[in-house]
Amino acid sequence: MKEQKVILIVDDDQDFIEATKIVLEKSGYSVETCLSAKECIAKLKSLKPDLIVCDVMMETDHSGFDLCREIKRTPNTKDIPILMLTAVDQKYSLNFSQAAGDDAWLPVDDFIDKPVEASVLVERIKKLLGNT
Amino acid sequence: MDQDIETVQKMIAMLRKEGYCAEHIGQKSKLLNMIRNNMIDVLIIDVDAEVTKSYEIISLIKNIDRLLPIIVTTSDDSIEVAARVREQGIFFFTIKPLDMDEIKMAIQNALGRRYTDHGKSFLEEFEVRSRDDLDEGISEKTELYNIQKHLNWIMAFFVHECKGTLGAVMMNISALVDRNIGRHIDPGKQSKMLLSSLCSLKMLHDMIRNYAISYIGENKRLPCSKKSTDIYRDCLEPVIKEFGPILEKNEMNIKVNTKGARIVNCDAELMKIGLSNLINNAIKYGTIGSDIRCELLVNGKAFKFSILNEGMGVEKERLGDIFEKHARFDRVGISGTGLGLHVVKMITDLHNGSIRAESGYLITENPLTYDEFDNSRGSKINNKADLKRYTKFIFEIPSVVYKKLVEVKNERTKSNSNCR
Repeated sequence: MKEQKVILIVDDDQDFIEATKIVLEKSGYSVETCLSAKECIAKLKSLKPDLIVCDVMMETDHSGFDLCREIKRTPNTKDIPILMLTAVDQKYSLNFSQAAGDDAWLPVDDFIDKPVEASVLVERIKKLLGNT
Repeated sequence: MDQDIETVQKMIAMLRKEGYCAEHIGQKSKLLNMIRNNMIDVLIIDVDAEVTKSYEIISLIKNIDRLLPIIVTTSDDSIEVAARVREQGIFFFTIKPLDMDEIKMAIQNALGRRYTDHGKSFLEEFEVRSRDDLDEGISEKTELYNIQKHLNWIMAFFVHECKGTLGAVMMNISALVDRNIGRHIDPGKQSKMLLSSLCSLKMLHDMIRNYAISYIGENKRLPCSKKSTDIYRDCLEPVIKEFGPILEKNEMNIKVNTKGARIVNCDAELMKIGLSNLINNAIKYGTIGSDIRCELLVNGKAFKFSILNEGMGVEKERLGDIFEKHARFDRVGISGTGLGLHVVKMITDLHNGSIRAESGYLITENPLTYDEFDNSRGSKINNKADLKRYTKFIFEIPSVVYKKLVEVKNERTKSNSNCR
């Protein structure tokens, strides 16, 4: 039997986490969740997910950015693809989707602006996991 | 800025090889001038050096550019030095001999931080800068000034909150209608997803309404048409009904205790908005599965409404500014624009009433304010963190209408005399 890929969702919006968890589980993934960057860092000590879906504004306005940099500079986690999923770009008037992938600015592998349709999220995750 | 020339040269060579423009500065005045002129993106500073040993330079730098990432190097590995340096709010601290790969990584992260902090700074200063810009061309208190100010606010805050709230709605609904995903979701979960979406849309609706009310209210154009109103039947009951799905989702109940007659001289629509915001607030910051306690008292002098929720509580120091525009208890995981209580205050003022907030501990379900608690048994309890907290709002407006009561009394007297 093919092993289920594990996706870790980090977002402080409980409603969004619940909805996304259902969508990803029904798409064949195993889902773990965290409500904060701090919780995520703790969880990554015992879990190595295949992909992380990460929000930006959690404990602070930029905790998602800090979390991504922490993940990418830690040897055990640096290879885990990160999909940044947030409504923050309008707030900052910056185009983060163009910056995604630039290790100095935004060390994430892809960026999606909220709100996003379930099918779009699933497609992007498949692409990042290399199984389109 | 380092006096150890060999280390400096090695570092400069490494950084230039990495494509950075790296320079050694040995003079304090030159360094401060360069920071003033925004010529530095990351500063590496050696606190052992003669010119920087007092640490005062870090405060000076922070005063000029509080967002400049500072990497501090030292050969002193004492805890005191580490603590002293870190309390200055520096970005990274490392002990010599330097690990160049570590420095490289710190610079990369510092540049990334500077970029996002600029974004943050932009947001924080957005309103201030907009106001300054406007001051030059448009005089304050003009219609154009207010419109522009509100547009700026929408850009910086409101859009983000709306998009965030819509995130869950879009995910739920799009999954349910998606042929590949939706058909695998069992009916129980489908109902939950619809309920969650409905709740998010209600929150979004309230956010938009509060924005509109606060805008109109600030321009002194919020109409207040007072008339005698059955405060329970016409205001509180329909508002509680509106919150049915959210209460169900959060497994919460609203318990209402009413005393006295229920006729109040007020604007029913505004009163519904005020009560709605108070209930919304109690749910958002309340403990899942707990009861929200409302008391509605109409006596000869006033209408008094109180609402209490068990939850995270509000720190005593913050109770005073809780009704300020955009005030938030705790942002994490809770969407909102911080306008709800501000609007309640606005509505209270229109009715010449008052509103206050109190918070404290629930001791065997009885609320004790922080002061009451400290004055009683509180000082003997070591771990307050384990105690339940509550928040309570007490809303009071004068001018209760007697008319209906008098009419009822007259009618009764009339019918009694007819019987005789």
